Amino acid sequence: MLQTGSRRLLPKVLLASGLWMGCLISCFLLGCSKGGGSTAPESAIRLQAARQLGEFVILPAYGEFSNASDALAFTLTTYASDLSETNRTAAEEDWHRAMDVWQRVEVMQVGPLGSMTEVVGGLDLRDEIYPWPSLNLCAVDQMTLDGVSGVDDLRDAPVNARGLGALEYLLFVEDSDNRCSPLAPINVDGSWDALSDSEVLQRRLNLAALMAELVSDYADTLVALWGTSAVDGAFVQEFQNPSGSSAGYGSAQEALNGISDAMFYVDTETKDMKIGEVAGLTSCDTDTCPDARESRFANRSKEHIRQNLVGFRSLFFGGEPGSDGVGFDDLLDDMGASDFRQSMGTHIDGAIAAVDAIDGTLVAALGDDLQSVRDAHSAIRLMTDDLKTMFLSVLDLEAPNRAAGDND
Amino acid sequence: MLGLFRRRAAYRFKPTLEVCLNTSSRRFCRGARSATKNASASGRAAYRFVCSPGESVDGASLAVFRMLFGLLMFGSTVRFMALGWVDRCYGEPTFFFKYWGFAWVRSFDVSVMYALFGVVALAALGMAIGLFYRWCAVVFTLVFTYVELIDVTNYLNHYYLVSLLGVLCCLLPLDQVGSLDGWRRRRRGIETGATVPKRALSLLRFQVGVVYLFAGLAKLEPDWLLHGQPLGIWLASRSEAPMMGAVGNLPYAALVFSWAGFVHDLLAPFLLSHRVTRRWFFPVLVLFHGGTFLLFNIGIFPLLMPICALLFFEPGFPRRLLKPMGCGVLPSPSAPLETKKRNGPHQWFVGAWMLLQVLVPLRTHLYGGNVLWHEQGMRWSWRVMLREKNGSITYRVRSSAWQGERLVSPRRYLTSHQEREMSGQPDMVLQLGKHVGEQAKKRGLQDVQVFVDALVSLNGRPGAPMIDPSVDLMTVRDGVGLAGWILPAPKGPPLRWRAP
Repeated sequence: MLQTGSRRLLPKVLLASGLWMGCLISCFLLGCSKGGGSTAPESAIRLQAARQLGEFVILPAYGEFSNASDALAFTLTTYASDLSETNRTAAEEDWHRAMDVWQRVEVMQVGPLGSMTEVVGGLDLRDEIYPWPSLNLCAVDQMTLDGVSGVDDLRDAPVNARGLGALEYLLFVEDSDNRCSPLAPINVDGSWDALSDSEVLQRRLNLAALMAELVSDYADTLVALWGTSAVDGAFVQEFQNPSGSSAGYGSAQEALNGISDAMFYVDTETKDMKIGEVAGLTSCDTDTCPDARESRFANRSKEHIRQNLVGFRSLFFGGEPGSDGVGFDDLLDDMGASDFRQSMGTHIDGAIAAVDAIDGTLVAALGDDLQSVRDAHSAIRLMTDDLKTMFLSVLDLEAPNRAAGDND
Repeated sequence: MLGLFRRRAAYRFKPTLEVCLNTSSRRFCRGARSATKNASASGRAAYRFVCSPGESVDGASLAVFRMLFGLLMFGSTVRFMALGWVDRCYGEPTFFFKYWGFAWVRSFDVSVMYALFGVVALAALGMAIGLFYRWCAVVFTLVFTYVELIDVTNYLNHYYLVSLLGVLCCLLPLDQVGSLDGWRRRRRGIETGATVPKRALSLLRFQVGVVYLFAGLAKLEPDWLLHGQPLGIWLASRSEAPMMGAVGNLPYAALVFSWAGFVHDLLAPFLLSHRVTRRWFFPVLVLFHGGTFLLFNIGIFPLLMPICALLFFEPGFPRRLLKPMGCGVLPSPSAPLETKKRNGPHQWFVGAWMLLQVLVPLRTHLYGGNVLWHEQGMRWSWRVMLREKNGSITYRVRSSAWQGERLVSPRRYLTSHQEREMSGQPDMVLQLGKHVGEQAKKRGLQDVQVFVDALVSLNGRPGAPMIDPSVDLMTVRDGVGLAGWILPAPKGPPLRWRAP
């Protein structure tokens, strides 16, 4: 009897199992198991954090940069038309302001600002605005000599010859020399030498004004692409409703992973390149490598590093410290990792304090107090160790550029 | 092994009842018989399994397994290529982590790698349809295993299982039923059988049972059973997963899922082995693997295991399924030749294989400590999805040419995927450390020493040093011995699971 029942049941069991397996195989081949096609509600706090960071931290930072770049374009145009000391000071201060905001934005390379090949929704806008460390000063000098008819003309120039880095050079360089090799046509044919110092200055400022205008254009484009929730297809919606029908993030978790990827800037660029290399700790064959510093003409490398950390902190806390915004710190609390949240917060503050403790400019400190620079590196490393270990573990985030793959 | 294969092939159509094929094996069986005369029931069962006469069973279930396994591997290989993983795993890296003893395995140009994957896919298809089955099985197993041996960061438990099943496919007569080879032989007038040695089926069942059993035993540890980790971490971030996400976020879900996984894996081989329990457990097993599929990126594993579980059904179950449909594609096992019993794989091979499958996962206990931390004996021991591990690795290189140290990030040599995999596995940290040192020497630096700061978080614990930072990695010999340069695991509990 039992055997007969079993025999009757077997085909049904196998058929049902086969149908289930068929569904799984379809999912396996079509890749529908993760991301799109969500049927379950988002984790409330992760969605809150994604919204807060996208809409109230990243987008406002972009907006702030857009305003700062507009102001910079205006003051540079004014300065180019009237070479007064007052206008020069105003232009330099506006550059500092814009650059400070930008250095916070550097840690927020999410969506259109990010790399086209590595970031969801990436359009490489960052390279249009500040392609550091790529900078071809000779190409900038060539454009200075040749002149540029307008912003559209400048848009066709190589990215490493424009943007905020080139602008810094044009605005802050103190000599009238060019940075091309002696064998470059610009030097061989004597065309550069034929320019007087004042002509060089005027041409540089004309070019700088156009560059600032172009940067401002790209900043406006960035803000427009992010848009507001009212605009259909605006990137901010990826953070407001990540599991919607868009082709971007499939979930709040993926949106948060996009942000945490951007936060790794402080590890790869800030720690290793901006401090480590300069202080002779990483890829530098001599005791120190001051020429590898980021801001060689305005000498604001230290401030840039600080602003990177401030940007990182605002993402971690979901706004400025003490604000109510839901950030990664709240997610850590929610996961029961409050001790770690506190420890990481302390390490972030410690890193900022260590950078502040560097006396004078970074390049001066390399000669006068190298240890303070190395201490700052160590302090940032404590913070990035947190980021790469428990932060990723507790929140189940992936390290950047890790293409999807199987596990077990 | 080739000798075994030839011998098995030679006896393929020879209607013989001989079991112990030579004097030595007869002696072995006699010895074993006397030794197990008063042994336990399990001991007698093991004896019967290894030395019992070559009883034959219907080959239909093995045919179904062969077809599904072949098709799955075909689909999986095509998917691997289509997703660009050949480039990612073999084209982009400039440094490959070697398995101990397999340093001779080399990667090729990415176009060659694509060709190799194409060969794997075709061979898998050949296995599925049973065309040139034996050759396809051998080619599939050799090429698949070679490719997996190229870089340790590509190791997955289910890839290892595929290689093991591939070896068994090479040696067992899975093409007796439902194969084009059989059809071709029948067209040439050669009688083909529809039965297979019972031992062949039993060996495959044993292989699958070992995977489940050791996967279950591996979960017998506090992080999994007392703290619900790392499932707690994973479920919290997967609330949007189809169907399973909402369930996974329920209070105590991590603990319940952890225990369910433990019980499922531990009991699976036993519940599958009995007809009464099998009929309700199989759907549970399929649902269980379906759930893991929806929650985690574990590739073909949730598909492979239910296919393997089919092996536990009665050998003739496919005929009973096809009978109502009037399908007669499978030759009947009642054909005259099929009353004859066949020889299975050599009992020495069977015994050695089984012993190996038990000893390899158990080797981890020789090392002591927390295997999830030191990872010695971690691979090939069916410790599936047991850890969430992230590390921050920084090498410190010293040379007489420098005043201080130089910090080297693994990023300089590795892809992001490799770096992530390497950062929690000490043997790979050591390998790369030695490579960093060798590269420094090649640049003409003298007296090179390499140290490492390896901060690792296991299952949500605070980051702790995994490797002694005072040990010069250039002086450490890589091997299978106890690694004194790996520091003990942190004592504290993992991240606490979320209670309501």
